[in-house]
Amino acid sequence: MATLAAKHKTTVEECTSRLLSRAEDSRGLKSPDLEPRIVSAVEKYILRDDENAGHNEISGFIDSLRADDLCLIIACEKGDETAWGDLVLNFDSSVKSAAYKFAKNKEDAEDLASSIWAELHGLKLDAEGRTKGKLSYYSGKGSLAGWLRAVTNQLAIDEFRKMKRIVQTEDDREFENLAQVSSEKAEFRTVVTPTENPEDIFGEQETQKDILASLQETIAGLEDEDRLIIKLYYFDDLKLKDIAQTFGYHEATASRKLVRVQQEIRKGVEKTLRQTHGWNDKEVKKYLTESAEKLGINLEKLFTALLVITLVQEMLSSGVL
Amino acid sequence: MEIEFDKEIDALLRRARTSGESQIVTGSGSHLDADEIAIFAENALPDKAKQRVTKHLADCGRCRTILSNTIILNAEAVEKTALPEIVADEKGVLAAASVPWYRRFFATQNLAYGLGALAIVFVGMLGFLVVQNSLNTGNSEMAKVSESETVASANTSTSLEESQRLGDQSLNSNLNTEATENLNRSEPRVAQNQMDANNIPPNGPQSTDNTAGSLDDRKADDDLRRNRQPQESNEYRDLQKDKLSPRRDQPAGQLMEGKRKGYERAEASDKSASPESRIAKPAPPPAPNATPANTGSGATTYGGTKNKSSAPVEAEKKERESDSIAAADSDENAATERSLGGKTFTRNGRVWYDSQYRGQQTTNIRRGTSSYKRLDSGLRSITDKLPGAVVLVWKTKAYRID
Repeated sequence: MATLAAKHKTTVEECTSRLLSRAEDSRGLKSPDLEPRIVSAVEKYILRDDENAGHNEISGFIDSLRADDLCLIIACEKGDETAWGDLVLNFDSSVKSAAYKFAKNKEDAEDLASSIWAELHGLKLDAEGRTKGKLSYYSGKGSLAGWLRAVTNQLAIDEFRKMKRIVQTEDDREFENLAQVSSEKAEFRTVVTPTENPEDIFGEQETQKDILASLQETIAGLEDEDRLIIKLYYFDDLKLKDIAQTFGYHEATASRKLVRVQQEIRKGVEKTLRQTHGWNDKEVKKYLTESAEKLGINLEKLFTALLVITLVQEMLSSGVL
Repeated sequence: MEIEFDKEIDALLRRARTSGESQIVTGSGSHLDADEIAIFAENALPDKAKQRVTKHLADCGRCRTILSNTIILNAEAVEKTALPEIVADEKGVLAAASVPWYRRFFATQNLAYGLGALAIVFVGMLGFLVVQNSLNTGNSEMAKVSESETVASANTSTSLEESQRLGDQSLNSNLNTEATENLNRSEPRVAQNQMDANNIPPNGPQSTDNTAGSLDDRKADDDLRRNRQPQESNEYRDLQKDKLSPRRDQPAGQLMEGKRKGYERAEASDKSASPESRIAKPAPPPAPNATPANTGSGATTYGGTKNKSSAPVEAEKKERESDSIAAADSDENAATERSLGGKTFTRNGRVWYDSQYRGQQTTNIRRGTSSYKRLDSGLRSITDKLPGAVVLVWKTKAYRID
């Protein structure tokens, strides 16, 4: 507790005692066993952002910690085999369910889960001879099951990025490449435009670039929460319900926020196009509408159009048409 | 929930997804740890820490991806445990999970069983109603039939009563006519009646007696018919009464049986009666103004002004007697035991039985006959006071007086 002010020491000791009394199964732990973890959490989540945090805020934070989960993790770190057994027995399903999200079959999922348990247990020993795994990063503020899912995600994404080319199938790669090629060539244009003027094509490309730049600039200028909401909704395909729950409000509130953010983005894009790129109001309205119509083609439609093109080309080559 | 999105901006944002915009990484290269992401996903971070983490997540694709995956897994775990998701809106009002009510209804696993049970109950109710309606229809038809039968029987009984009444009326008219004719026979007959009343045997020659006897027999027949008719009518009325309201002292079946036996005994007595008491075939009534050949103390005369003047009186007297007998019958019907002349009589049906009667053979005599008149006055006074048939023991001999 070197970084923790002396005035908070008493608060931490009192709250730690209270936490132990709240636990249904303290697993034979004492206050000195928990205090380092609690102090670390206080520093990470309270004092890091507010050095002048008071007694009430600290005691409130400690009182909100999950006593049983924290005692279980600390007991596992101390080498309590019974605690390890309970941890695996009760939370193996959470780890495997997270692993299934990244694995294509059951065997891969179980392998991933085993590697995660190994990471959690740790293969390295610290100075005191205790295993040092990722369990030490658990503060007890959130649920242990949620933490295990986040850990599984983190490890799986790292593994997935390494295994990306192995995990991805040939068809998926071709499809992705096709989408990328078509987007590079046509960019914001429809695929079936064989007889356009190159000057027109260049003009359209420049228009679309301006629009995209304005969009990026506008998004960057949003509030952090609004920006996160936009990205969670449009980039990560999260549902408004889940977004609302994450932020702690109702789904209707999330939808209203999203609509408001869209309006802000429109205003920002139009402003940027006028001020930065010299567009007039008529051009702004026209090109935004055209861009939206053109950009509305999703990958499925693109694939369908590609099939039609391929069929037409074959018919032309065979002399049917 | 329909959201009026800006479609143009919506399209632009979706396009921007593939442009690499989402892959911006913070300059320091540091990422959030799993603990911070997990706490943020559960909305458990302190406010200031939340602001910091939000800022990083808004700009870091990797951490945001971990966050989004964690959020999805948490949501799936919650759905598996079937816990309602309770979120608070900006006004602090708690709302239930956003599962629509119709989805919850159709998510019921036992919906099929419930619907099947409802269908079975519905079919059962329909069948019950159909059966009930058919039974009610049959009962109504049976009720109609029974009503028609009742009406028919009522009509029949009514017609029977009417016919009897008519018969009574006609009989009475006949009796009146005959009474008038009898009255026209003048005083000797009256005198004879008086003599009879005083137990003075009729004098006079046999022919007179014969005539008287024949006349007496005719009178006896008339009296018997007159007495019988009211009796019969009374008995019939009593029978009808008993049908409607059985007496308490006797079961209806016994009463009916008694009456039936009474009728049978009456018929049997007619057949087994002594020649004296047997009703002779009545001779045709003489002409109204005819004068008998022999006149005596017992002779009766017909015609005459004198007789004419007393005829209506006699008729009225006889009518009064019959009425009194009928009234007496109706009064006596109520009593079941009577004491007369030191004897105790118990009524069984329409027959009065002497308490001294032990079932010995009886001498059957009809009222009004010569044999009846030859009986002791004391006996006759007793039997005259009892309606209907009387079985009594007189001077160690059993008589049945009808």
